[in-house]
Amino acid sequence: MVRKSLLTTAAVVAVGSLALAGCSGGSAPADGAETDTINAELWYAPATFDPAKASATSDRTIARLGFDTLLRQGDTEALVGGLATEWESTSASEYSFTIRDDATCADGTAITPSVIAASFEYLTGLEDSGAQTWKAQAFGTGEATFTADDEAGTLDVSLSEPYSQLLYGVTGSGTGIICPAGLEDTEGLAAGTVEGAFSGPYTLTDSTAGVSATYSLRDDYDAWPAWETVEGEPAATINLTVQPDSNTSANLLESGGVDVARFYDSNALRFEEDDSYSVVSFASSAYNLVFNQSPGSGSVFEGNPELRAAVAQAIDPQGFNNAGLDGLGVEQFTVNSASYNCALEEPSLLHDYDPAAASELLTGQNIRLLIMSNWDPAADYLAESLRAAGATVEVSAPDPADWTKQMRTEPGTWDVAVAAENAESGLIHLSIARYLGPTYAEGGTNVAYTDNPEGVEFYEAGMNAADSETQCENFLAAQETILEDTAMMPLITDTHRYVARDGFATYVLSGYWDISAMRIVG
Amino acid sequence: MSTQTHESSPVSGPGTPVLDGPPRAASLGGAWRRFLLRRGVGLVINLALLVIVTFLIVQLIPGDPATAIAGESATLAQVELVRTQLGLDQPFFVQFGTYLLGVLQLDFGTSFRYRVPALEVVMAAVPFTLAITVAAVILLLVLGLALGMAVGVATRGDRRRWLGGTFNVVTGVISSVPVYVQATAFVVIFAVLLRVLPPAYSPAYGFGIAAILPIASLTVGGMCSVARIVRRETAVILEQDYMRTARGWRLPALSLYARHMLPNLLTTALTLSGIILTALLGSALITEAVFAWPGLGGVIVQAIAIDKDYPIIRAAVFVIGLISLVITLVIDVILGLIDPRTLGEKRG
Repeated sequence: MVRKSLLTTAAVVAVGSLALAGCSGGSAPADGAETDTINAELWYAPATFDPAKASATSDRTIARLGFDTLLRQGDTEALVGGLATEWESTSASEYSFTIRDDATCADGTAITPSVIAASFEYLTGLEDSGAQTWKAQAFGTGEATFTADDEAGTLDVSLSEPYSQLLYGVTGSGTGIICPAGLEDTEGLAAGTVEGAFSGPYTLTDSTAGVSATYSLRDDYDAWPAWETVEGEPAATINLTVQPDSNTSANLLESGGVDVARFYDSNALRFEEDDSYSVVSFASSAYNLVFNQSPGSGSVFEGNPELRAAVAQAIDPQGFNNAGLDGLGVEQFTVNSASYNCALEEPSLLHDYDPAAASELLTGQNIRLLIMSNWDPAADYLAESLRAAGATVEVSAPDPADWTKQMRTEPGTWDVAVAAENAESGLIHLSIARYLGPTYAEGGTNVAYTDNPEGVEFYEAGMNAADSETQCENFLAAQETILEDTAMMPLITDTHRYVARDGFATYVLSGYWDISAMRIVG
Repeated sequence: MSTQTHESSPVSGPGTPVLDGPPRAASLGGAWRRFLLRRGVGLVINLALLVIVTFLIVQLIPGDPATAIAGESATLAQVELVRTQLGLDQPFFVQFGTYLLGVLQLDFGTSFRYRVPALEVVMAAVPFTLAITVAAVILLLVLGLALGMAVGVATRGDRRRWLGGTFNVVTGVISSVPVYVQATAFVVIFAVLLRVLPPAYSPAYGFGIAAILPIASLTVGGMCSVARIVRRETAVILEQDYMRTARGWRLPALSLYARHMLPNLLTTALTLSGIILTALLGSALITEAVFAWPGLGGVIVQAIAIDKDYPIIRAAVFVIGLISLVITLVIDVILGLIDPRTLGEKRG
């Protein structure tokens, strides 16, 4: 009986303690005028704090806080200086950067051209899929040689194969400069425990794998890019928690639980008419319809441009937008967002929506549609549009990883697929290469299995051109060949919104949301 | 009840074995040894099955981990590089052997995504999950007991029939509503409309205040279930002779109900709470999603849906299973202490 009484007493005490803890633990969130902290969210937990190995969106986002890049995307012009103050290209293979002389690592080490060269050599030497992607985006597919001159304060980059997009490539957060302390302890670098590794404005001061990360502003940092429109004070502390649900984000933003939140759906509309919040938007993904032209795959679209055109006529991109994106997407005229540099900006090469004309060719056709599993409304819309035009449609909606794998390596299993293209890199050539050139099996990224020598010629001319005007001319011509052949059909650009509550601000710079540009505006 | 067991001594007769020495302490000790041995062996077998089944089940999760980890921009060569680095190119039995050897050393492998030991990631989230589930179980046990007893006493002998009917309807409805629906309703009422509590976890709030709604949503349904059973048990106990006698002696209400009735209700309530806690671990994973609670739920969902992170999934399922098994064992031990008949021995 004594034991029973003890149990009862213990339970009552425990409940009382819980109640007290619950009642005493809280405090109202501070507004911008009272705080030096920004609370924000990540959809998924960062996997690594090593910028060179960053592959997921969250990895790339946090890399921007801790590691500065040579160049940055600007607000009033496309590029502004980061660690480099001047830059020039004598050809698509030779680049030269003048490095600022006042930048330091978090441990006080000066960031010299040699430090930057060592960081790039680490990146290009890694056998890691994330690093190899960054290497390809920054320095192309050939070998890169880095020559540092600390006395002159310059870094020369020489490429074995021409790559005209280097200047944009070195704005990528994965090319962030890792200081010598990080290169000496790469395991600590990946875990975020080497304070001296950081070259950017913030250092990681706390993190729990899968849960949260806290960044603190460096006292000695003064290498902010020369943005002209970014106003306010950088936060002394940035708390990032993992929170993937859009409804919860909206509720937290309204209650002050977070200060800045990202939205991909109509939850963003809760804030658009409210003066207490500011909203910026940017292209997140480009959705395209890809026609499989792989020889011998059995695809109905192989060698049949008229049928491809008929599908494009049967589908209304705005209907797709309404079905899949709550109507929040924006028009797209080419392989990626119209906001991209060197992207086609008008719809003259697109087929008009004309289901009656489409049905003449589509009636009686059997079409296998491949789409990822979490896109049911969009899949339904596409399938029903084609069925309405007389086609018989078989929908396959595997898991996203299987969807990717099937598109790249199993052309015998699909005729037409919905492809989601990352629209945050800003590099149009990556999207062009999805629809021409070597296929995945051949070491390339052509997911449509097209044979388009004219387009390839324009693409390569763009990659080899030193001046940006010639680059764009050729990249635009390559896009035109893709659209004229109806190798793909642009559907819609998925536009995401960042909402900041009163007292806080966030910025999109040349189409890129930069976490390090979050500010407290009082 | 243990008191009744002690009072009903066996009667000797022809063929009855003769007991040597002090029979009760010796047989109780033996019962405990056999109970613990039996449960210990059961625990080991269950854990072994858990480890094996978990290994096999994750292979059935759709999606290629190498493709998921390599990212959308990866070439096929990069995907294959990831596959090799993760050891997924090894034959099935080699992977299984490596896994078993690792588990014996409590090493579930390195997370595909985080590149740190999987158990480390899981154990970082476990305290968050346990904080709300254990608190919820304690609350639902105490509140369910209090509510069930109060209504049971108030309605004994068919008194206050309206109260009994209302109690049945209200608790029945509430306990039938899924936890995630209750959680969403709580967010709408207390966070969105009234704005008196945080809608979800955030560093902007204290841990305690952010935990109130998750704990409440896990508590309410279980509390109603416990209260319904306790109320019925209360009605039965109140009709027992010893309770009639106690009432006849005009014992004070506190003594009557707290000292004589409550201990007799604990066996049922504790047994039920063990079952509820196990179920709550599952519910908590969903509740965590509603409240952005940084527990095991988010870790598991990301591991399955996004990353195909086999080591994390295996470690998480193992830890949840282990918690469930250990809690069940602890509750059985407590029940054994309260009522030795539950040790599973036919005594006397």
